[in-house]
Amino acid sequence: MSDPRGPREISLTVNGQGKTLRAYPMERLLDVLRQHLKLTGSKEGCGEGECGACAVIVDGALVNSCLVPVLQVQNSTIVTIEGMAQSSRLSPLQKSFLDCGGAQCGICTPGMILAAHHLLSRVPRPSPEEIREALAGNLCRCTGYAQICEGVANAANREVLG
Amino acid sequence: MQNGQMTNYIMPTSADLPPIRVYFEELGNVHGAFGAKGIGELPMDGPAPAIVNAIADALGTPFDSIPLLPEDIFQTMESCSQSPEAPLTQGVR
Repeated sequence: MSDPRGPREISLTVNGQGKTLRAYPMERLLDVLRQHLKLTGSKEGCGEGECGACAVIVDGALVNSCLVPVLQVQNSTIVTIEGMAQSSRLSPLQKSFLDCGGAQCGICTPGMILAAHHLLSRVPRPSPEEIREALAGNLCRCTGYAQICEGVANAANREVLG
Repeated sequence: MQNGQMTNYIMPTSADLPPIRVYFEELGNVHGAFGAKGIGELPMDGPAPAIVNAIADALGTPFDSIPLLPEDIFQTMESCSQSPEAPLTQGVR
């Protein structure tokens, strides 16, 4: 029998595309995304689940990909920041972050956008408190969060209007 | 370091931050360029290179990464003693 800790075949759907790769079962999902699949939009901030920079959506749940052994996402559907834009066209949420100046150094931005997307998919018209609550797992040390929250609120209104 | 991880280096999240009001200080700092004064971000860049340079100076062996662990020092000294022709530098930049 083969070594249970050795590399094995992992199948998952990433941003709508089926992928099969060989990885060690305890490799972090973050590393598999960044190194195996070259999806470097997800960032490593702290590597211990505190900062949210590596957030991705796994089967509809917002998770920190630095804490997920890749074996846990066998056959899962994953959305990363690369899955937000339609080819070269930004999503309304991304556009809204841009319009409101909701980014400075950009390391937290992919996680912020996924957390905001996850919120808006559940709560289309969030209150300012709901926005702050939903983004509380994502640390930003540049902006003070004001423009980021504004970007989310702005995107929510825009989606309702058009 | 007491708070070497994000778990206990308590950074404010979006839920913690109070509303922020910005005031403009019209009388500039006489020591800063164009009256500018930096606040809030204390530079922490100096100590680590200074310590690494001190070790490099003491051993005559360059190191170019931090954190500098005892294992790194041991490994570098081992490899230097194995190849005596390897140039030993006077510290690192």
